[in-house]
Amino acid sequence: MLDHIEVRNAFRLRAETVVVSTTGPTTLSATPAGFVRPLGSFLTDGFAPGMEILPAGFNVANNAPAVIESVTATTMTITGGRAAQVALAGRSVVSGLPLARQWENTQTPYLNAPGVRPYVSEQWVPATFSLLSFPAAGGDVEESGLYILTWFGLANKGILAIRRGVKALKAKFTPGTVLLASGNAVRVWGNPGVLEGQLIPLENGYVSCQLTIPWRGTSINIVAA
Amino acid sequence: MVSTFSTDLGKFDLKCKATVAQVFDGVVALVGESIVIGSGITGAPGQPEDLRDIEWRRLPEGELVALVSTTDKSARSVEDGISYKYGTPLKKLKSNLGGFHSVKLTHAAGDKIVASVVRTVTGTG
Repeated sequence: MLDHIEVRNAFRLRAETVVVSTTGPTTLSATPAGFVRPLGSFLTDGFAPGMEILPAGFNVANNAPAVIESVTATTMTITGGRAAQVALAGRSVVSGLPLARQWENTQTPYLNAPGVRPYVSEQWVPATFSLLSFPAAGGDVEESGLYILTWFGLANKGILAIRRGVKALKAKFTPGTVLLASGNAVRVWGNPGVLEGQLIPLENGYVSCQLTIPWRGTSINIVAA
Repeated sequence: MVSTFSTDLGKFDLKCKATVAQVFDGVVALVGESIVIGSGITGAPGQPEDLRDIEWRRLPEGELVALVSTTDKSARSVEDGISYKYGTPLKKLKSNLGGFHSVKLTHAAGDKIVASVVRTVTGTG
């Protein structure tokens, strides 16, 4: 029998490692509007308005997460701006899974700042549990279900931030992807595979997009004495 | 009556078509049941009480295509676990029956539905 907490954790950990856009280590300066780069392009790196970003290599205050207001090849304007810091190599800006995460049965993050920061929610949905082979004791059992992630992006920021985020997540859960938990392999199912939903505008400054990840896993059946 | 290969083939063809039609009808029925009432085959919990009583249409859309649907406004919220009225995740279900994601769970278990119906129709179960 699968340990659903461990399997769910494996799915969650995989989602948490997603990188949507990154500058990689590069030369960056901080300005009252946001960030500036003399080399490379924020656009080519995939940044877009509405994305939450996490800077690194600046002072502590400037490393705080922020949301992109607008972006060009060399400038990134963020909500609230930053204290000026001269250009220095080895800095980076990364956009990944939103830092506000409503994991199952936890406090809802949007209550703190509705419509200001993107966030994600998850649902672990166990479904079937079937004996595949005999005898029952020691036989193979198959379990199936869904892992559902909902990306709550900011309204009126265009589709790029949400679509690129969900696409990056989808790429982490392509059919056949194997996740291990307690020695049991759980595979992302391929027919149907991962389903990327439509963008649905909500009433509170958010637009949702749901990613449905079907999975199936087998384990050895143990008949309790 | 003399049987010929062509007439035998014709009978077999009719039998196959009848079987396919039976399987199709069975699949549509099981899909509808899974979405609305819930199913052990798919693991879908079905709809909450208030959504079980409304009209769920099962409309043929082609020879082997059917649509299972409802026009109820709250059905989508229940399916996705999101309150589209308030823009937040649904955290409560005001029913002792049913749950979320029954359409997705039914879709994900399409192969199990077809296998189950084929076993019933062909008597191999």
